Amino acid sequence: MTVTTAGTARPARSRARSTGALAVFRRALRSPAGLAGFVIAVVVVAAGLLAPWLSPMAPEATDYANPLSGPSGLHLLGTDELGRDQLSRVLYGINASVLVGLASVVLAALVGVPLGLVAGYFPKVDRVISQLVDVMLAFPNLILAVGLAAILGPSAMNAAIALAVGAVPGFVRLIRGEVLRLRGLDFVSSAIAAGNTHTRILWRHILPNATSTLLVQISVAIPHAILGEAMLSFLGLGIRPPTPSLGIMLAGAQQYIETAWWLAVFPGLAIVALTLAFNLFGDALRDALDPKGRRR
Amino acid sequence: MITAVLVRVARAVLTLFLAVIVVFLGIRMLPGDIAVAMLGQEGNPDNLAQIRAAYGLDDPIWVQFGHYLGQVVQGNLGRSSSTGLPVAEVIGRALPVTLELAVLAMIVAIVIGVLFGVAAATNQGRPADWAVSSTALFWLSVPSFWLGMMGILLLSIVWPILPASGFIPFFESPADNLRHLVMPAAVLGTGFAAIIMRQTRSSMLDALSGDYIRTAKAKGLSRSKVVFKHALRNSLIVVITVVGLQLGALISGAVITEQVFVIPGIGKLTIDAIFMRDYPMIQGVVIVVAGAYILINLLTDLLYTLVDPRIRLGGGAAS
Amino acid sequence: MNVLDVRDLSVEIPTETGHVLAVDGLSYSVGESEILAIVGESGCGKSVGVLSLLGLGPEHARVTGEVNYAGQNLLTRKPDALRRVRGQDIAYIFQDPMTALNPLMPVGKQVEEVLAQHASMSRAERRARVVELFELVGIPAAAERARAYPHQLSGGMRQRVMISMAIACGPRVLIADEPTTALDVTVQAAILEILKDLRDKLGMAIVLITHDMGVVADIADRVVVMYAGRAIEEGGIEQVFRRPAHPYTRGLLSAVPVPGQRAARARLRGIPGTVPVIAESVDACTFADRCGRADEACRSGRPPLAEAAGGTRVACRHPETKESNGE
Repeated sequence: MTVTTAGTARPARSRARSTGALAVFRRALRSPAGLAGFVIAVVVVAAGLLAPWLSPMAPEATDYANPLSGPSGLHLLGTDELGRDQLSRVLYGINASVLVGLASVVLAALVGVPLGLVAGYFPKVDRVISQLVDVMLAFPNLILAVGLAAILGPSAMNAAIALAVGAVPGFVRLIRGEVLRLRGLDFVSSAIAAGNTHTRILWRHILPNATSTLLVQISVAIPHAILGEAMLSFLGLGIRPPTPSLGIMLAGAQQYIETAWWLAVFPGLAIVALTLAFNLFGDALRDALDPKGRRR
Repeated sequence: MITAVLVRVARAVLTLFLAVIVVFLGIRMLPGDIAVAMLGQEGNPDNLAQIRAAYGLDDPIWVQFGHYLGQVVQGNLGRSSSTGLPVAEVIGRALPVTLELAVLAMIVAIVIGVLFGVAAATNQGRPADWAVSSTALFWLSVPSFWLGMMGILLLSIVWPILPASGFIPFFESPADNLRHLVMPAAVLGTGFAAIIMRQTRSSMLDALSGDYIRTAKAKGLSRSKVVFKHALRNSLIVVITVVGLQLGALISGAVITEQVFVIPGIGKLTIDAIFMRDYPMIQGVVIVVAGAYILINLLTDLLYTLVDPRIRLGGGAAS
Repeated sequence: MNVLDVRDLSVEIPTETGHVLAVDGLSYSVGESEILAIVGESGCGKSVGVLSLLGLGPEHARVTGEVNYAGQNLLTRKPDALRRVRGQDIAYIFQDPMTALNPLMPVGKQVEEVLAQHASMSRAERRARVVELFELVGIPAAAERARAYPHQLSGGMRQRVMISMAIACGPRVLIADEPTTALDVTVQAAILEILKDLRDKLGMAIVLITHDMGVVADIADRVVVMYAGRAIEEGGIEQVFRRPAHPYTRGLLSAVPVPGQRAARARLRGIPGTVPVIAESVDACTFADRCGRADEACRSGRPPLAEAAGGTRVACRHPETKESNGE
């Protein structure tokens, strides 16, 4: 007998997907692409964070005997015009990219989430916040970051702040939308009817239900921030030399592109690996939360 | 319908106005001012004071703003502090260059993005879909400036068929103009194509699962008619909106692409102005870019309204 | 004479959790000017069954059996040949006329499309024909309505558009999949009236899919009752309503207070449990788990469709013989 007497008539409907952040995370890891992204991200990020221990040489140490030498046993990824070891510099560069990227996203979430909560919950405040967001969105992301970085001056922290400001509108809009959606649901209405305070409703009832969506937004924002940091540094508006940064290394490589291809190739590959890993995982997360991808 | 459009236009104007305020205040927050930029930190204090007085920097900030706004409305964006040329004129020269680059890139992006998006959606789950989707995701992860550098490395150095940098105005030599823009436009355009492709794919999948698609099939229409006449038209509405929202990415991309390929457009102008501390120029460029961006978004919204009869004609059914 | 003859139709659908046998050896036929109702609860496979006749079912479904139309088995025909049958010989009407119409195309254009595909007509002729069709299905101000978009029409008007689209090329079979479910009760009656009227005028065969015994009583000549992918009872409308032999049919009918009057939609309140999801064809009665009179025989062999005392054909080892009185 193979009469599977399921609870309801249709299998697709009976298998309601949990949208808790942890469940979504687990489901994302079950897809091959999500797992690959996660593993690559962990490996590359670990390589960056462990740069001080993994690097064969100090990133600023110069080897004047071997300037602009190609990949060799001594320098696996070659050296730059000052004879600095590229592998070490790439590792430190990843370190900087990851730190700036994560810091900017955390910052953006810390500012954007409360603003989004308030905007979605209080219609009057919403007008002001939404108009502000519109103004911020009037500047293309990078232009905004470039402008801010110019105002703040080049440094890793300022690059993080500049990128964070550009990412805030995304968080505000997303959370605002989630609040508007959740507000209309019965459990929130009953919480309101039960006389809960606004703060309690926002923190205890609405925010926990928005965590998965928030998780997806964060996973999308991280590769954006990493690319943004690389761009700012490339333009000379991000991390300040001589601190190794993938963007700065690429900017320097332009000059030597005819003779020293390795200077242009490897830092770029590092950025691609980092970004691709986060993008793969972010996509898997989004699919796990919303299999048909109808939200976006 | 007309009221809605007017409201939308009014909002855009308000946003632009607020953007001008933000830019104006932002510029005042830059380290140092015009006087310092012109004479250097060690300039004679008397001379510094003179320049400040000349540029009205001693006036209260709202007076300065009122003055500036009055000038902006007349199309006067001030004079560059590094070259002394009128800002509006310099921007006017750089703008067509960037526009040409952006339009070419847009054509590349739309053609590639929509075609591959449709191809992926109609082959959902098959190897073709997998290949296209993976390529798009990979492409999204590649920084455009690095892509440009790799292009130069391969197509200008290893296999020299295209110039690595520079720009020739179209009216001087159309062929040379295009030769110089092919690579930048391809770099910028394919990056944008990846965004369009992903959006087209997902909204096509949405559209293809719609009941009206089943109706179209039940009518006996050919597959291409079902896909292009019914599914694609419906999904393009979503694509237009998202692409409009993403145009900022194209503008940002143009900035950096111009930097890599040494193209004298708005992007290069901006970055150069920042390093020259050319405040009037920065101010002008940012306002023009924001204005253009707001205008594009407005047009996208209106286009969207035109394409969708549910919005254009309004009026629900009396059922 | 049978226009459409379905023999031993099975539809297997792959899903994430293994496959589902949505239709399991279903056979029926419909003759000229006949209205056949296929009735059952949602999930019993009735919709998938008719969609699969012309390859409109789920994408990767495996369809076996025979679908005989005009001397040919449609299931073995190439996609191109099948396309010529769709809309021209066999046409469909779907449940929700809002979503079944393309929101971006004027409704008249959508009807014109069928004509452009199957009939060689000029633009002007097509337009004239659309107005004619609209008038035939009772759309007032037809010429003007043809230029309207779906969202500007009411639900009933939209369904009339769907019907006019379906009959545009004078099909011999009209398949109506829950055509009134999404509509108000008063509109329902009007739509059913139109269908009956068209059957009389055009002599088409109609296969009507519904879960509503009231609708069946209203319009059908014959009825096939489906349960878990199988036909469990079949017969003329009189016989099925007066002397239903299958316990499940009885249960369905008990949910309708008085036959012939659609006071309420049929709901299976009388039968505990739900329709099971079948993974593969089993050698047993699929209703046994919910049936009060099931015994070993029911669980160890698939009951064949056989003549019952009341004049219906029933797949049950212990058919009811009494006359139904609505209980």
